[in-house]
Amino acid sequence: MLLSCDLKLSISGGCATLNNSLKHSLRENFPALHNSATAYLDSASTCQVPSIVINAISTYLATGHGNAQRGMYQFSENASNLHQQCRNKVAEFINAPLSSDIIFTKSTTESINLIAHSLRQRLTQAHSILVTAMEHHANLLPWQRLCQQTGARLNVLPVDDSGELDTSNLTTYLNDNCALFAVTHISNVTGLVNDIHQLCKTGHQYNVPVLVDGAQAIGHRQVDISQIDCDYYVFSGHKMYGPTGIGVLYCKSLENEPLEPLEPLEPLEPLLLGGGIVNKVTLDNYQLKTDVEKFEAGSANMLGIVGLIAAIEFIDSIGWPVLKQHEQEVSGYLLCALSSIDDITILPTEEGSPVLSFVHKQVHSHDVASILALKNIAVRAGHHCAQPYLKAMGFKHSLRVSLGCYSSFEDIDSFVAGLNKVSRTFTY
Amino acid sequence: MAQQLYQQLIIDHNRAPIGKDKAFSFSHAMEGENPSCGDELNLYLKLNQQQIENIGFNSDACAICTASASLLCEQLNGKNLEQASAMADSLRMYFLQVNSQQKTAEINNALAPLTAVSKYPSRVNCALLPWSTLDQLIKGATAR
Repeated sequence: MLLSCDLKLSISGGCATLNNSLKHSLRENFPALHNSATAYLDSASTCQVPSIVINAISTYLATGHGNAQRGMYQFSENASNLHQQCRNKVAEFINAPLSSDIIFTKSTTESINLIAHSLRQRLTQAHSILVTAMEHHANLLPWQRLCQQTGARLNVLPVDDSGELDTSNLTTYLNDNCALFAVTHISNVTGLVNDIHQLCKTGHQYNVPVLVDGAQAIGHRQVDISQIDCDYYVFSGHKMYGPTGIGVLYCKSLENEPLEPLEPLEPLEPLLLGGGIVNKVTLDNYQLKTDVEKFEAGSANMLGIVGLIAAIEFIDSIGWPVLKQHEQEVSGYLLCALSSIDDITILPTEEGSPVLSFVHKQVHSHDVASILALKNIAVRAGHHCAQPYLKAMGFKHSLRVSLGCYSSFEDIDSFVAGLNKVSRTFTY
Repeated sequence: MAQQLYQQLIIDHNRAPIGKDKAFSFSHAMEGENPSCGDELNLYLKLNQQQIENIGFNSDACAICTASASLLCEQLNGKNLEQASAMADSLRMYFLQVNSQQKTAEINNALAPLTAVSKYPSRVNCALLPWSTLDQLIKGATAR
């Protein structure tokens, strides 16, 4: 039974709510959810995978797996074609100017580490790196280490009491011989959305390249690189209904005018060395390729490539308006339901966010999550790999509920019923 | 053996933890932290030679960790450091071996309420935090 709640959603264009059959058909795409009683509310951690992705991977393996760009036989040529097709698809998906701007990695984390590694040889004590207090550890630790290794300063843009970026000192930091500004598109804790376009614009006014962590954005909204105008954009396939083990690093094209003091792509050093990235090798030296392939040493992750193509096709087949509207409806229902519970404190959030965090006033987050797990309700508890951000908002841990296109009102009802069970278990 | 995570003894120890926020003059202290969830715990001991004359803790931690710390205080008061180490080792070995076919570790019956945690790998570190903090404290105390 659905909770009675007056959903007040501000959906652009004033669209009517999605009908139930459409909601069910979205969920029907995910076999794990109709083969299980689990209310899966941890999509910010990793998404469930639709049949189209599962079938694409299965079909690829069943019809001939090959090593991309290694052989002249059919299996290998087919893999090479899929590899390039994926680069094209990703470029089109994020509206990047060229497919050659797309580098495949294993994850968002590896993408960020690749850039940090590349800067190591060229950073000095004279430089600074700018990050924010809102970052996931993946977009913080690589810059901490880089600064420790090079002596560069690590400047941190703080957040205010409402968890939003405090940009009052942004230009001061950008003016500090800043080599790179690394910032998240959407927080993995609060779901707060940063004005990335404006941040990039300001960064470029000071000739500072900007890296955007898009891990939490890529599966929830249309990312338009040309509009954002960042220098690097990073994300993972498994946050957008694809498999784990495939990530993307978008690098602004070589054709664009390079920024000072550091230039975007050409001087970047690969993180890994090995097969497939060289023009010439002698016993005592090597000459790297000059295109994006120099960053992709070793055999390509073809299952990730095939799965990522299918994940993009899945999202394209439904379309962003439907996906966003569905998430906003469930998000509004969730916020409404949580707002009626006295025992919790909701962390800063924004309307329609697919991510919402809260703390229980009497029960530790880990205990709440464990009790919910016993009821087949999957949420995340802890610091969400964002300890400084939680601390800045006055918390050490929280519970996080995060939605996907398969999330339903019934999932939220189960979750709320589970929360009541928590209160009963710990009522003294 | 009860396999329920939040069985009554755990709830009871969490509700009225033995040794929590106990005021006494301690000779040794150690801070412990669980990086996966942010549990924090400070363990305090008053040692006379190798004998634990008093023991207590304060914490900002989950129910499993708090109950485990309470059981630690209940069981170790009056014991010597060797006995304390042995009990910590037995609990750790129990968790390490519980899924092994060659399970040999046995633990004190008093710690039985914690054994259900072994079925929830993400919570094992919560149960072990007081005991690993004790290990660190003992290492420091015996190194001097």
